[in-house]
Amino acid sequence: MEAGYLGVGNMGQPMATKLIDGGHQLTICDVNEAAMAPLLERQARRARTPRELADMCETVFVSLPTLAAFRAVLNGPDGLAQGKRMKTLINTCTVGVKFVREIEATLPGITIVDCPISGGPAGARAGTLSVMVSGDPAAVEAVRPMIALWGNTLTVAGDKPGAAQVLKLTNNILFAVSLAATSEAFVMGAKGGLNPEVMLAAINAGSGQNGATRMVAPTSWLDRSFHYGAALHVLIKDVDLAIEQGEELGVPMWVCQAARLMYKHAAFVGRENDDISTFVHDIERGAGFTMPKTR
Amino acid sequence: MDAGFLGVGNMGLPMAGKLLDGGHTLTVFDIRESAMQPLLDRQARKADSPKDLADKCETVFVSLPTLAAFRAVVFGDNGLIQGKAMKTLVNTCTVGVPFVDEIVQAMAKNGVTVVDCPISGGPPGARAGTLSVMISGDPAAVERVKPMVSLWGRTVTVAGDEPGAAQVLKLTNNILSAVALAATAEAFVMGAKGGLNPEVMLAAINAGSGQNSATQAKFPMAVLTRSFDFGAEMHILMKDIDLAIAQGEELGIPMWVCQAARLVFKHAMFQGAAKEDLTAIVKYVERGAGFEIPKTR
Repeated sequence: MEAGYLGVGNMGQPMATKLIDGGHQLTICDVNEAAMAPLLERQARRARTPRELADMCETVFVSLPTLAAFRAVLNGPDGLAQGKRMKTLINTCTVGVKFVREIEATLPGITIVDCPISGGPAGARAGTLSVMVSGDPAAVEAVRPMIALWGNTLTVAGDKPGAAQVLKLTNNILFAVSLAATSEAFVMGAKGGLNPEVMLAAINAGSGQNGATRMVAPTSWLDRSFHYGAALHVLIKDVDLAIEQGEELGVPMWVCQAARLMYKHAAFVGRENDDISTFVHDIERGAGFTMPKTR
Repeated sequence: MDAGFLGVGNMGLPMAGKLLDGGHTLTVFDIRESAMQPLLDRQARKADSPKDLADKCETVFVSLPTLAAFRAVVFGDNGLIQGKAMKTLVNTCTVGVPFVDEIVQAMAKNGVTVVDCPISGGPPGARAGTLSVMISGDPAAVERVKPMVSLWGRTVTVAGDEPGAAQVLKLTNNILSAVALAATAEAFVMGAKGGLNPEVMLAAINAGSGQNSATQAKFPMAVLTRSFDFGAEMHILMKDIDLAIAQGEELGIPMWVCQAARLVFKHAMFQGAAKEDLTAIVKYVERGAGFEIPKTR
């Protein structure tokens, strides 16, 4: 199949690569020249603007880190909305239900397939993302051969765009809370005299295991590399969207709110572009203790 | 090996059962006759009191739900401390470092070595033999009991060479488990009230970064069934949370998220949830939301 890919950054680049690996022909567009280079070397074609991408491709994937960036590529003289050929837009971003409605309103006549993913850049490179999709069933079936290349788990959340957003936010707020609590608990254990490796092994075999003990602690904490691959502001966006969703539905979310305050605090002190794994620094600073490097 | 087992309730019964399965001879004691029966039916012997148990066995395992119960069997009338034969006490309870130190000091006077051996995985893990076993204490004593404690699960982690290290490890694990349960209750009520099928949500999250022990074990077994029968009461989890936060405060660790989870459970306890299954925390979040996660199993 031929498709367009808009946004080939930390997530988009490995996801676009999987599509090329799967034999699909891609046209790509990104504001960052360097980000496109590896894909252009693999025979991807290039569009100069979002509008040109939507002039060239019937199906366009979007992978962008912020709502502001997404809005910018939709509207304006060179925006996707001006393109002539695009029939289906596949949104892989976590943007919340309201923004999905905004996209629908901005692109009348275009079918929106909502397709957020979970697993981070490492999961994208390994092809082990959890893919969540919702939208018109025929459109979902049409793109399934492509999005299935990203991971082993493909969950159809519902038959309207937006359902996959609710699912993704439910997943991501759990990850965010786990990362915050794991930062607290690991600093406690290490300052209490435990070897972090011993702690990690026991907890991953016990009821304390979670997304952060599986994916962040081993890859970014124990080697003190702090290169998980996602910036705090991206996680904060998801936390904000999830809590907004919860408040709209009237669900009490004390624990999620506490996690939000901590992430906001990190952003207030100017760390919004730091890797999410550096969140543990805030706890270490408060505790006056640094977890030892063990790898 | 011959050993004594004190407290054969929700956790102790299946753990003692595994020791019998492994060919060990057990003497058991519990204040509830009925709790002992399944083990007595399998040729375990019965002691008349904690003292009697410590008179008969060199190695005594203790599995009790509260610090008060533990204190009573050690220091009370006919307490363990009066027994003549006991050389090693193996503590499987999550009781925190200060309490372990209290037991260690009391036992040292009688020449009894304390091995600290809390476990994680709940009653289903104990029945399946898939507990995560955390152990610390004198290395020779740890090696002596290892053949027995390894019968409880595939993962035996030596946390250190002093009793107490395993408590820190266990509390680190349990506070993570408690926060995950509270956050999963909040997030699942949000998702379900937002129109998602809980089964669809569970499958996707268990394949994604949101997965945790609540999404892997507690929700499929006890929440989506609306059975709320994971098998541990909320006050036991509350004890672990309180101990973990006490530990964190003593070490000077900022623990906002853990504190928030504590408030959520305390609030449920104030409304009378102490004896409810710990998965019932979901009902308190549901009450606030005016919405129930549907039964899907």
